[in-house]
Amino acid sequence: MKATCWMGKEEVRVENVPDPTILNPRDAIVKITATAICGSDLHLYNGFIPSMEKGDILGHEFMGEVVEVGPAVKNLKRGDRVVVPFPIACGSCFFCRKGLFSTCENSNPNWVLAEKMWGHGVAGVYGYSHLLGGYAGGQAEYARVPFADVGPLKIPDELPDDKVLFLSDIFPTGYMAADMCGIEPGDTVAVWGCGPVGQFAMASAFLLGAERVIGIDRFPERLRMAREKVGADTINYEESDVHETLQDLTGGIGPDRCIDAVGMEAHAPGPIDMYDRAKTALMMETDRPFALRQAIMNCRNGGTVSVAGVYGGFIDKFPMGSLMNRSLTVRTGQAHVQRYMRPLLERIQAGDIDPSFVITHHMKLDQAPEAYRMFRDKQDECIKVVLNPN
Amino acid sequence: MVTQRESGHRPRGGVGRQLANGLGWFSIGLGVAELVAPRAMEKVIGVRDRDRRRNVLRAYGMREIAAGVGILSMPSRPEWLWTRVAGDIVDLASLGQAFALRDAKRGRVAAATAAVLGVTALDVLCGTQLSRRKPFRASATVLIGKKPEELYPFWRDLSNVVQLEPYLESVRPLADDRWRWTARIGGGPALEVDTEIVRDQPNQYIEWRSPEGSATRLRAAIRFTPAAGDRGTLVRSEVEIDGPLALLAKPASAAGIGPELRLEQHLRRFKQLMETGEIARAYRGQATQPRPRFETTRGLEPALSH
Ligand SMILES: NC(=O)c1ccc[n+]([C@@H]2O[C@H](COP(=O)([O-])OP(=O)(O)OC[C@H]3O[C@@H](n4cnc5c(N)ncnc54)[C@H](O)[C@@H]3O)[C@@H](O)[C@H]2O)c1
Ligand SMILES: [Zn+2]
Ligand SMILES: [Zn+2]
Repeated sequence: MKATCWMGKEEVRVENVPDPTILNPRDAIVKITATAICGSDLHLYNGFIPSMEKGDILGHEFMGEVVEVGPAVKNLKRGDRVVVPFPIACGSCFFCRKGLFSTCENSNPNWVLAEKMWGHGVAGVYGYSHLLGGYAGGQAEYARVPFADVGPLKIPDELPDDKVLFLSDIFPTGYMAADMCGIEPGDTVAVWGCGPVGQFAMASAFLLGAERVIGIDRFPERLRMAREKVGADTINYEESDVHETLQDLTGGIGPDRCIDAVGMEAHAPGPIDMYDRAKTALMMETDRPFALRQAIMNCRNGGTVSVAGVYGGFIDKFPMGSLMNRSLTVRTGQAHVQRYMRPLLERIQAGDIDPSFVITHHMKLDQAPEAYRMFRDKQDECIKVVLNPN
Repeated sequence: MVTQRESGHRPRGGVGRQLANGLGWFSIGLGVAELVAPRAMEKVIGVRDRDRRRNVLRAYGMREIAAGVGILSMPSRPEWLWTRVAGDIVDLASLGQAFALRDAKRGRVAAATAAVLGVTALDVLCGTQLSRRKPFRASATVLIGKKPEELYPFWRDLSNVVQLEPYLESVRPLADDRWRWTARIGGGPALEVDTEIVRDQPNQYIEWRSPEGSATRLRAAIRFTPAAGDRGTLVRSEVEIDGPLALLAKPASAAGIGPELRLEQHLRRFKQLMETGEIARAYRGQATQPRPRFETTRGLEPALSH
């Protein structure tokens, strides 16, 4: 089959690889009809995530048709349409039973490796480094889906791929980012990053009752999408000072809830950027946490900072004093997608939201290398690319 | 998950221990001399009195005494001997500096250097002897969401363990609750170890070890303890290796790829099997030929994640 492979920093290629096969009783094989490139894939593309190996198959946002099931999968059959959640989770361990699916104890063959790095392990994720299991990803024609009896969500025929594909990751991710905020009536929610995750975080903040939502980014097309499709106010941080503007908009107390939808590769205007770039180059920090620092500094006293952006290792100049003295709460996590898929599917069916609004490009799987470059460099006002194998 | 490595030295007599005791007393003697009579010591090693140097000597004296007391009072810790070796190196460096001093008596300094070199050789010899005699011990614990009686039967039939360890070719029952373990690493020769079950408390504990007189002495045990708050069972696995294999285990363990890692991996796989009915395996389906690799911090256990 054809698959998008990571060949090194800033190099992906569509290669011919062996078809996946059933390896365990609870596996299924899915023929992929739609798959997307995520901001998280850019961290791999840019070489920020350790333990990638040349040839690894990328992609963790995908859906398709079941073509084969293992003997223990009773709820799915050939021909079922499914969306696959990006964290691989067993559904029955201590963490799965608590709904913390992205920290499932039983899906990561390299748990002890993650444990060495982070103190404790986490779940396996498709196409996301050997630290997270070394699973083949879904930017391909077929994928092997472990724990198919508990993970994939069946999709009724009348819903097109574009409306449901993002249940695999970014819609639940954005929703969880807003959910972790504990939004109360009257709240103002500020969101750093108006990429696809930021867009869904903003839309979800409204679904969860926020009074006002403010999106922060520097790309006009992304800010426009936030205003026109989501109904948020926006700040272009290259044109106005973020802190001053947020102070003005909130009468000096700051937003009640601040969401970081940017992550480890934040862009920063001015000398602090040089500082973080130098530090990461010298391996003295692994991530550039500019947006996170801002989110903390701007949040109102007693407010919540919710971190959806991905971080990998260590950061520097973390404003612990601000966090502690002002009674802030930090919530974070890789999305527990399985927890949100069904209720969000119902939201889509009820017409509360149509997630396809973030899609700017449809391309063929063969065009993945081009798509990665375009998405990374924000060429052609690219916000979200969907790849179709056929 | 808890993984521990223990120093499992059983104090014994023998040349290594006697030598260690001698070195311990030597440390204390030298330390006391450096501490209370630094001026006399300076004469012996051939440098003339300077306040600063004298304080350095006093500090070295403290160090010697600490090492000596350590060696004598904790016979099971060869680490103390290694602190002596480290001290020797510091001494040698200081003597090297003393050599360059204008007011130094070169002959005396050279003699002192030769003496320290001799003692260093003894220290290294003794440290190696003591460390070698230490059997290797490792353990790991994992919480499994099942009752002890659901977990114990798997281990009562040791041939099941093959599922947890890709390097194990087979575990076959012999007569009288003896089991023959056959392992093979890469294309290497098969490694065979026999063990017999020496303790068996249903749903609580099983222990097996290689019979008296085997070249490689192995002892392993698995223990099941009900966990607090309905969380299932704490499963603890222990292994002790003595003989030539222990020599391999130690450096591997220091490099982070030793038996404790394997133990933890085994228990994790056991947990996966018990809680989900299967062992997590990643299909990588890579575009490039996976090259043979050892376990490192990069792409740990690639052999398993295929
Ligand atoms: N927690 C999860 O489960 C999960 C899931 C998916 C994605 N993510 C992460 O969410 C983040 C965003 O994903 P995405 O797909 O939207 O990526 P994206 O790259 O398309 O979006 C990131 C946006 O952040 C903006 N940005 C950069 N620096 C900024 C700054 N200093 N202030 C404000 N905005 C800034 C960029 O201009 C860009 O628009 C990534 O880190 C991704 O890895 C997390
Ligand atoms: Zn993603
Ligand atoms: Zn689980």
